[in-house]
Amino acid sequence: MAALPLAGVLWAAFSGETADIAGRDVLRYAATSAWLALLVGAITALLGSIAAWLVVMHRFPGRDVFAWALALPLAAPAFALAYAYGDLFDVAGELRIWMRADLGFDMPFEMRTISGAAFVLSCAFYPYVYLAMRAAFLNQSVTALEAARTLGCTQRSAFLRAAMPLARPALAAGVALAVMETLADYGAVQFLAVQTLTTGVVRAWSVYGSTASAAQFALPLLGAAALLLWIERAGRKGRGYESANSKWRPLPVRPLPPAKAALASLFCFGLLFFGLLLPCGWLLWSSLDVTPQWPRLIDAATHSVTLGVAGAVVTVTLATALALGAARLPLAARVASLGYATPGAVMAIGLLAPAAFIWRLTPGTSGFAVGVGLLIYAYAARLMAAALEPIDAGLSKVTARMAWASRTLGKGPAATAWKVQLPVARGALLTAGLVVFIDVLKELPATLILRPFNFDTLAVIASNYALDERLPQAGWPSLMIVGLALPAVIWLTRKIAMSRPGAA
Amino acid sequence: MTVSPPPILDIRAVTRAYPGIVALDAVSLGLHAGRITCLLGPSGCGKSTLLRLLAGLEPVDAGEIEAAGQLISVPGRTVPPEVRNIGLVFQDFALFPHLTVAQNVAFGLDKLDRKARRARALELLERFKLAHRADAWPHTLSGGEQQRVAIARALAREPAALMLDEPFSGLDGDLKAEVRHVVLSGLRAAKAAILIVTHDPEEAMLVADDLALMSAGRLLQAGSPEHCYLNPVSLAAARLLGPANLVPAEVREGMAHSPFGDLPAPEAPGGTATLMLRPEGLRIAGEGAPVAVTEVHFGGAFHEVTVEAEGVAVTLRHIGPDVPAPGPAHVVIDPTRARLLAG
Repeated sequence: MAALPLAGVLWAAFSGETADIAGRDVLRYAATSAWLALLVGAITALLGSIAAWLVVMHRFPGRDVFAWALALPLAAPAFALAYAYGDLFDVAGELRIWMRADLGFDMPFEMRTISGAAFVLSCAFYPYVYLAMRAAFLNQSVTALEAARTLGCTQRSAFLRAAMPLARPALAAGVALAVMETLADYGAVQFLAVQTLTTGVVRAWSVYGSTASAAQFALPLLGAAALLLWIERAGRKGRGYESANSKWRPLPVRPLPPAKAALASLFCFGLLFFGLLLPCGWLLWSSLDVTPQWPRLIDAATHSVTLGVAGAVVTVTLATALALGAARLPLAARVASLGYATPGAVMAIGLLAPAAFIWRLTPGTSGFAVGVGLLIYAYAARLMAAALEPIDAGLSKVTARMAWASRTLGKGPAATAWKVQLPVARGALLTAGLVVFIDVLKELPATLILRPFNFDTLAVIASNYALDERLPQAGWPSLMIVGLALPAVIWLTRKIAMSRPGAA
Repeated sequence: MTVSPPPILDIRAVTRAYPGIVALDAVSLGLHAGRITCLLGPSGCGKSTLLRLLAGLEPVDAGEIEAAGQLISVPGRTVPPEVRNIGLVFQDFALFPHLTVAQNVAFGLDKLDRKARRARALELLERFKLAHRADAWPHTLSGGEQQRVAIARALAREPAALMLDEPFSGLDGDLKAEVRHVVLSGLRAAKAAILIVTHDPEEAMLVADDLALMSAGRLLQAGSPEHCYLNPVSLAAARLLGPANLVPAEVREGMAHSPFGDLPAPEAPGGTATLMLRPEGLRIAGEGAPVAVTEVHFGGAFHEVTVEAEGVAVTLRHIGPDVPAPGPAHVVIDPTRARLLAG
């Protein structure tokens, strides 16, 4: 299922007329994308690892809150951060005018550059690394650290020589996720006027109207997606690094002396501040002056939530079916994960060609139904792997023997799935559903391309306002997304924060 | 066993092969209602495969399995597990974590209404002395309790046959004897044909009405525990049931001569043979074959004594006072505990 849009991209890239935009531009855009991905990868790796290490292994004021709160920026779409920072730190913005006039000094950077975009995207995506590293540090065997200490390592060198190498696969996986999101991002880089391959895809399609050119921009993205996926998988293979058999003991948590504790608190708070509080606060502050167009916003919010719920239900249903049948179709799961690495814009372009075909095949159907159907299809294809992962983990709690026990107790395969496997994995199903819901709320490029005419979501409205330079107006829909996603993110992160393998 | 009723579960020349290994090689075995059969063999000998074949979780490659007169497994056709009336208790119990103890036991009772299901579950839990834990979650139970829940769950549907995979291996020492007692009385009350897989010979002999010895995918011997212990058909069968000393012997005129003494062997052909001596089959005595005691170790209820004669060393168990000291001694063979094996 996920393979169809991918095939669509390949087919579109090598057929049809290409517009003027292609060719040399692809290389330039690709270089920008690569540079941006490198910067975001490095920054998120550093910030996420340090935060995870501090929170897992040390005690300092606010640690228990930061443990889950550090993941909250996942609720804020990257474009919302871009709007906030673009406005707040704008060269012609009030803050910098005031700084120049009254302080006689200006900030030495510009938001609408690659480094500005790297800053924004790092603020938005560091939680991916944080969560992966946190899980890795929590899962590591205490004995490995203790062994390092008895072999003469100080606390610090035990971290560098034992903990970090053990967590390297998780680091690779977390950074790969952050980079995937970076490559897939459209709203933020578009607003900051950084021309990446994804903006190229959308521009080629919307401005030049050429599916073929769009597909050509998409090709390097697909290649990068496959590469990142391979890195992420290779990281996952490092599961052997986690010692499954050792008994779980509480990790030795080291209280920090006051000065260091204050620094640790400040660091974690800084991440939360720049990742969520400052941008959302600023958006709220600057939006207070404008009266939101409530009818339009509520309409769009309804669309967003409806798409989110429908996307979640469809994706989780398909992912569950796939997970239950995965033993028989290992390739399917592999293809599904390629979908996750594929940027939404690419997915959408890939769907356009088959869509046109379906359209011609069934002339009677309304464009609206086809549009919404395609959109949900695109979400499902893109987020299948994200849903598959928790569901797989949940189903793995059902041992083969449990399923066999059910069979010998008179239940057929379907009844076994219904009465044993799904109930055991229901928490995982909810988790998967929420993950999809949050991602659909924040999704922009695929929605932009595939949505039916006059069908706006919150993300689309925010993007339209932002493009019109009506930033205060863009604040409301952005904040509404955060407001809708935040409860789900809090629920997820608290659940993640509380769980530690071995603890009942 | 002169006139035994036909077996409730009849395994006939069943073969199962995986790439590169024959897990079961033409195994035949019959299970009878109300009797406990122990399947004994080293790990990897195919015992668990046989269980899975009987439960219908795997097909047979050759041979057939018949239950109550109906063929349930033949090559190319396997009656699915949910339709055959055969229970299986897994080594790790495989309790459903999302259901309480009573719900676990009632899982297979679809045909009854709510009340009847609960009543039946409680009745079974009572039988296994677990009624007080009916509403507990499985993970709060001890290993022994979990196992009894798993057995009660399997018995709830009144299966014609129940199979248990290494049921006592996870339990230690004291507990084992106690749990075994509760479990066995519960199993006997069920009147089903019981098949217990184990690798512990002592346990197998204590528990079994009928014993089946397996090694490397083949059934070596079947019979009463005593018969198997005293009359092993082969060296491998002898070794499965406990330590055995092997001594070269020479058969002449109906008598086997060994460095440790002679044994009547009226039916054996002349020539070289191997004498199998259980550790308790050789006794230190005032007269008999001259040997040298080389080692004596205290083993609790007995002393383990190593004696040597003509360059052959054997280990025997000495019970009681008069513990021999290293040096010259005499031994005699107990003919009921010694067997002559061909070759």
